[in-house]
Amino acid sequence: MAFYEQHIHPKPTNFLSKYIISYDHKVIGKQFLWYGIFFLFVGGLMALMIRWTLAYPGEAFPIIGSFLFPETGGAVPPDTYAMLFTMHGTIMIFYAITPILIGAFGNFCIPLMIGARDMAFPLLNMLSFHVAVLSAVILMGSLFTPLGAAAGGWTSYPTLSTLIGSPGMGQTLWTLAIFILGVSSTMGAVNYITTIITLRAPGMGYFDMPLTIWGLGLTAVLNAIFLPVLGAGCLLLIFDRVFGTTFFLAGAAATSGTGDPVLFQHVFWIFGHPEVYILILPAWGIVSDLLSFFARKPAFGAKATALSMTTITILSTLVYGHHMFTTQMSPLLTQTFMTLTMTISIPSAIFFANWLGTIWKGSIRFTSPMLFSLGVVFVFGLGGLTGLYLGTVTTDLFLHDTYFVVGHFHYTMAASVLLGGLGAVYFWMPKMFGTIMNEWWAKVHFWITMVGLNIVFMGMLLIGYAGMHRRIFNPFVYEFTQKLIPLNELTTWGAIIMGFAQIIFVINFVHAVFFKKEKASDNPWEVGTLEWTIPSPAPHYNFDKIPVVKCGPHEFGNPNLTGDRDFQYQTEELA
Amino acid sequence: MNQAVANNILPDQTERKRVVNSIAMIMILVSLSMLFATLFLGYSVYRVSADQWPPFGFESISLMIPGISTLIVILSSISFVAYKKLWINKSSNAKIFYFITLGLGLAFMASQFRLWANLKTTGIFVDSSVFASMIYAFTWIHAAHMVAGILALLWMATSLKSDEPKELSKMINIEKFWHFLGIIWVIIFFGIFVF
Repeated sequence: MAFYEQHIHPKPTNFLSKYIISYDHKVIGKQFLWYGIFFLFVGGLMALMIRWTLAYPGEAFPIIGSFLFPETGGAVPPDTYAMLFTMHGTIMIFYAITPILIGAFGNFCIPLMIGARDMAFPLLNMLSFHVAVLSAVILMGSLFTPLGAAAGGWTSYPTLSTLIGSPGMGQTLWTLAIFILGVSSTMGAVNYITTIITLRAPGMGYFDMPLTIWGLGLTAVLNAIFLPVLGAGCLLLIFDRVFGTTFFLAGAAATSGTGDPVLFQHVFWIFGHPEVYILILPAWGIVSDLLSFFARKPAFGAKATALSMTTITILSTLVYGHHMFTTQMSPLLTQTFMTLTMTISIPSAIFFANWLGTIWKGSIRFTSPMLFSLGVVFVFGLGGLTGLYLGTVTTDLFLHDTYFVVGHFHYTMAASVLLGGLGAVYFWMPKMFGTIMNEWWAKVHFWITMVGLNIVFMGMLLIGYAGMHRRIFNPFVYEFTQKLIPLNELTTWGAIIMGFAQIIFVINFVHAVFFKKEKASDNPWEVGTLEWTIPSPAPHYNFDKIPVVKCGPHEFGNPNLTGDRDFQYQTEELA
Repeated sequence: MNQAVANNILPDQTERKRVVNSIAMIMILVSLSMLFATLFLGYSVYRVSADQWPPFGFESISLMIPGISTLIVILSSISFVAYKKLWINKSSNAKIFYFITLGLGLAFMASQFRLWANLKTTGIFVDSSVFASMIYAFTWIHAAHMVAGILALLWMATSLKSDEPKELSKMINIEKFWHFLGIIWVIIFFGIFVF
């Protein structure tokens, strides 16, 4: 039984209370979705500029180049290149993936899937979005400051990010924006955790929750614990930049006393390693559910999957040192971190095997959400395996700071999370907006994205293995990289293909949201979790009567089912 | 917990809602602990790697004002507990303790301003050295949370007139936050000023 009875909010009447200052978790989820899609576009455009520069250094960026960079005739200038890769990383991680996976689907799915009428703290939820908007305004504003945006990489290592490395307002505003966004995400996380603990429908134990909720809940725990660590680092960095302290300055740069630049790296990665799991855990959860839903089979070892995700959450807090093998760490420490990192393969292998076990001998329906989920299985497998080379000290010393690293984290964080997020959009579209997206175009979108994405990220792995470093404006000034120009061109064309494929998605999405007349049925995917027991789109109060949960989320093929139904609602009890 | 709810040990809705609020408050305090823990991590790195502490050219800060702040913070926590106890018992003396707590909170802020002024007169500025920067960073960040605590106390003023059960929920959670800030200050006092 839920801890207390939630009242039904009055139905919002005007535009303002319906779309802007709404307490409704579904509306806030949609707000985060639009916010994330907007930033996906901005970050994606930046990615194309980066890729263009690497394939055709010095050549004008097509169409909009001459408008954006008139002083160079349309080619990306070197200092802007540094800003582009910094902002691309920041925007994609904090302003696109986080809002879509955690903001949109966290908000939308948690109350619906656990059978609650809303979050435990609707006001806090609304403020969390408004604070995120404030942060985005500050970040976008930093692009227009005199010396330009932050250019120290998304990791913002000192001394690149101190006043010596990046003078001007851009970096200060970047740090402030990240701090504020951290506040927003922590507010969200506190809300998610409380909601999951206290508002589960009567009868729903933790293992009766869909794995999506497991992923989102574990993410929220990591967010609540580790975002403040980055927050403290950001505060000290702001003090360094604004008040002249020397926390992160050393040597001749520190005029009074001496600080420690490497300390920021520690603080950053104590947060940063959990952060990569913050991004991927919701996608894992969603994929674990979708694979079962469309293989029409109970999720194989669902309990083990949930527990391995929990184990990974715990282990993720102990491995951050593997990002810093080249900081003259003691070999004893590098080996410790390496061993702990390798330990993560065990739970990863367990749930990966469970994914394969789930689809094994299933009657698979190749719908668009299923295609995207299978895509995640493939790209995450590749991404995870390349991680082993970076977690091993001996190979990492060679691969550190090359494009291999870029390829690896794009496979894990970008490819898997993007595909997982898109799969989720296709899947929950009927419940969110009441319409279903065009399946044929969704599949076209999937295949073109999948091809483009693999060309880009595989290309990065190869280029990096050949020794090309990341974050260099024109790597081809070095003789040994000149042979990599054709491969870089191919990679760039992969990115262009992937970028243009998203136009299909945007048209399909906008059409389904605003123009499609044909309404989706209440349960178009024939799935038994709680959100599919209510009308599409979900009414503002979610559940007229709070449901009573009788079974787990992945009950398929029970022989006692009557009619031609092969799934069981979570509210049903069968012998 | 679930069992307790199922067995109706927690009878009414407001009491249940209080448990929910407490869970959220505990999560917030976990978050804030990590913020301060990170600052302490930084502090210990600087401290351990320094040749001498305080660095050459600096003397230890006089314990007078930080000591007074510590005393104030401890007293304010005690008076908060007293206020809650008396409020629950519907005693007419409760109001006095509300104002004592609020007064002590403001006095703590005053002592902080006094501390910063003293540091400046002795030539310790925020950019003087990591030693000075650390003191300012800790006290600023703690004071910022203290301001939030005082605002929460003012928000709690509604409990002076009302004895509704939802006021108790508010009070219990603000109390948690208040004690938390007190504990953090005591750790700062011993970690930075005393040792």
